[in-house]
Amino acid sequence: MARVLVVAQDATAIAPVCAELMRRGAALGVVNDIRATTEAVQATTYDTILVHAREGAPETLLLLQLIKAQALGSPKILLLINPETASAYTHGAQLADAMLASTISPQRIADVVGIEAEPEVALSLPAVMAEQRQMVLCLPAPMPEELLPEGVRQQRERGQTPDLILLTDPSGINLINSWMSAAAAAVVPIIDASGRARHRADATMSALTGRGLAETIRELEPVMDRVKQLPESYFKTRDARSMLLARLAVRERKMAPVRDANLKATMRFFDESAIAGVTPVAESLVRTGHMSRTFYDRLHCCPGCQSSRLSVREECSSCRSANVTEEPIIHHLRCGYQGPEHDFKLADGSMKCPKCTHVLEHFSVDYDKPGSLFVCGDCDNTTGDTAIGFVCLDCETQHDAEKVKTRTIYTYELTENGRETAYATPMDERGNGDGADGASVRDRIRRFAVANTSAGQPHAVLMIRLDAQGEARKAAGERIWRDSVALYGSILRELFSPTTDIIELGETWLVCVANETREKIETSLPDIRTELEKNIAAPLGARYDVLGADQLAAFI
Amino acid sequence: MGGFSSLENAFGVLTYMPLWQIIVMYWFALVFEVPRYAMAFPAIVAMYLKDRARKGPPVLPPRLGKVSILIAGHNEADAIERGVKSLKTQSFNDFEIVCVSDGSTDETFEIMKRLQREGLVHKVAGCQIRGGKSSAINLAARLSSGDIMIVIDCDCTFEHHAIAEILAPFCDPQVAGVSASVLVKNGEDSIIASLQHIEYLSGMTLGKAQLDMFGQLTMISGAFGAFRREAWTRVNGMDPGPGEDLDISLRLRNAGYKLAFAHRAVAYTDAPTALFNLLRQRNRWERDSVWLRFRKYPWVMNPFRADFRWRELVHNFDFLFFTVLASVIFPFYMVSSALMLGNAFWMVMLSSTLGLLLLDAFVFVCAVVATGNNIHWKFFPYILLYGSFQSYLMRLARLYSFIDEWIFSTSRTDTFAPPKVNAWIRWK
Repeated sequence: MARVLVVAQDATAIAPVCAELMRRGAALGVVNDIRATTEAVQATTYDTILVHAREGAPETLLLLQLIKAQALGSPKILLLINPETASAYTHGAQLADAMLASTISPQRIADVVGIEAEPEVALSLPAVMAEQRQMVLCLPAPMPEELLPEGVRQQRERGQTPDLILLTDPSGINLINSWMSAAAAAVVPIIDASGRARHRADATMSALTGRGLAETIRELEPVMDRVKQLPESYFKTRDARSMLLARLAVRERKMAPVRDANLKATMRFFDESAIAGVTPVAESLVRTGHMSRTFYDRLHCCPGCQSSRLSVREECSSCRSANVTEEPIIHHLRCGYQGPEHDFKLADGSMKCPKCTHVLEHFSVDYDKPGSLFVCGDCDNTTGDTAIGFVCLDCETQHDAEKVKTRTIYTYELTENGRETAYATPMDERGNGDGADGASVRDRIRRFAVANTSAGQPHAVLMIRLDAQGEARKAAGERIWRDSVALYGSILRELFSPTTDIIELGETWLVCVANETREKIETSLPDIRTELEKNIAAPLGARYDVLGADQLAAFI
Repeated sequence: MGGFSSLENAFGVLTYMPLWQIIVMYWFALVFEVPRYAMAFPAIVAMYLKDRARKGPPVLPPRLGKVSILIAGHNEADAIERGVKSLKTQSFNDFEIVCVSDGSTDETFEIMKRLQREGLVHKVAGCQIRGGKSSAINLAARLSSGDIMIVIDCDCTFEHHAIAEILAPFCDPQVAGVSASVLVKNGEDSIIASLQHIEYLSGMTLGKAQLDMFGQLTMISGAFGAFRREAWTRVNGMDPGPGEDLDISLRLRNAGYKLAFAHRAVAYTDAPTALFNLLRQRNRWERDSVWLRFRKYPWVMNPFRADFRWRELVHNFDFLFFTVLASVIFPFYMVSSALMLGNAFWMVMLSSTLGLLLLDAFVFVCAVVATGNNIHWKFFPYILLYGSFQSYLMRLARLYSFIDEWIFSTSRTDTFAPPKVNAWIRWK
């Protein structure tokens, strides 16, 4: 199959040529600016590059020079010009292999490109659906209608929800949200026809061909059908949780992470490009029971810049230098001296015992090598084990393994409840929040305040915040910090009665204390603090604040 | 009742016997036992007075230098972590810890490495092939940087001031090694262990105190002992072969150094609970003593050598007379007494056993008072068995070990060190 790249700012003007090339079975790429052109020619080897010159534009010559310099392989370069302005392209004629008048027939141009007509595919482009017309939004610019399969029409107006988005260039991604609501953008399937927007697309075509496009659309039909089953109110929602539920439900897939060395995090979710901050959204859905999660990986992160692009190395346990060499232990059986090999080595390579001065000659008779030691070239520290350290490739700082933070990555999956919710009324309209029982933190505090105020009971909220970003965490090291926080949380829950509502938000707790005044809790704070901290060795830098009934009234 | 009346008659006879006849009947106890007890009393008084003279915690040497603790272990996965952590609770804990795994096939080395990562241990080394305790301690000493090196066993636990106490005698610059008081941790596990508890307290501890009083201490226990690096280096550290702790102690003495006993530096170790294991352990100890004193270092007793020292002759004579000779003569004494005394033999045995029992009880009480630790009182009832245990059972076991070593040289095939190492042991 011949691979042809069509470079044209106005794709409509050259649509008949493209249609003819696709009819003849060419794998077609269409780009519309200099940047996209250079990226395309550097990424893919084309047989022919057809440049539709913009009238009177000097950048056409620049474009030809770039193509000539950067294109992979040796593609045939054809320059398609308006014959009336041919004199402006004298230099272009030297850069291109041939210069054609845009007025000649598409068949003639296709002949020059060198693709023979293929009778078996020349009948017509495959129909997508006989009885239903699919609406496709082509971005960044509309496609010639002739290029689209039968049964597919193009969306021309903003504000509608298309059945499908076709990206002919990665820049189209930035335009999606200007054509439809964020909720629609999260669910409508996307085909990447540029080959360079895989991270956002549900399907990718390495080359835009009529047959390939039709088949891809057909593959995505079930997704399109399920999008149509979403309630009308969904497309107006701004709730990220509803968007994520709907997105995964219509695609009937998990939210699985993929490794990406180009990112500091080295791991990303495909859905991140559609819904910003998708991980906390998924976590909140796990808490509410709409999603479940399974362990995928645990990554180490630089405590300074959070990058997971870390170089692991063996270091001297004393000075943390990587200049460590392994050396055998020599055991002189005769006198019992045991030490690193360099204690025995003489300049001529022979070995003599530093204790009894006997020459060591026969391995296993005179001496043994029972193990090895690591000798530091910088501080001369000798020991049997090295420390593991990390160097951050982004900020170039060195960190001990014990101090490096870890981040757990999960694969998320819709639960049955999540699937049902996805096709029901959006969550923001139902008032569901992000608390553990499905209510938001604000809702839970409001409920607590309302219930106690109406009952005429004193009440207060004890707010405890640990020094999660400060010195205490750095000093403790990540592992000890994590264990200490978990222990602190469990002691806290044991300290208060089981009926006390304790809202846990990472390293912050809100303890809703009924029948106690703010003053009384403040008086008891030293005892509470002692009880909570006496069994935890690592200082957690906990801050205790009490919100009284008057302050909680603001939540009502 | 008839038995009691005849016994009463027999004891009544004693009151009418002339002194020389009593000496003839009880000569063994008078020659070999009574001096031992006679020396115990001044040792106890010396310990007691020394403790009373000192107020407050132990005084460390003004120029102590760096202290290293050396731990060598073979398959000590169950004990190593507990041992290291107990060291960290010491009143003096400004020391580095160096651990060597000697051919362990369990998780010992992995645990040591983890302890190093956690900052509890400073240096570790793992030997896949067992080389014996001497070479493992030598490697630990090579890796350590302390001016004072304290060798300990993994399974020991220590009293709060034990490390500070063992360092205190280094105030004397002549002291090259310090022996600690090692007591039994599992005394309640069996009768055998209870008897060893008494033996470690009133036999070994007081024995060391006696020897220390006269500058005759010859043994720095490998379970808990301290060495000055300078002296350690001069005598070339530990030698391979059995009895490595006695070996280096003797070599330090032979090199002119002084050894001291720190009775307040107390460590607790596990003693064998079964009789068979106890006999096997003692068999090894006694063989090692004979091998080291009379085969490896016999020249110490040669008065014609230029480096002969009378003080070295004294402890060898002490061992030869009170340990070797007493064990050898004891069976002959028993047989000859039985033949000579007839029915009075049982009276002599019983009366000498009762006499020794009273002495044992007195020494035990003094030892408990001197140590000031009331936990030992619960072993007092076992004093009833202790005299017979020591006089008959252990003495005969000792005799067996001496004969075994003199005739068959069994220490050469001891499995305590690997065969490859044993093959190189010098035989003189």
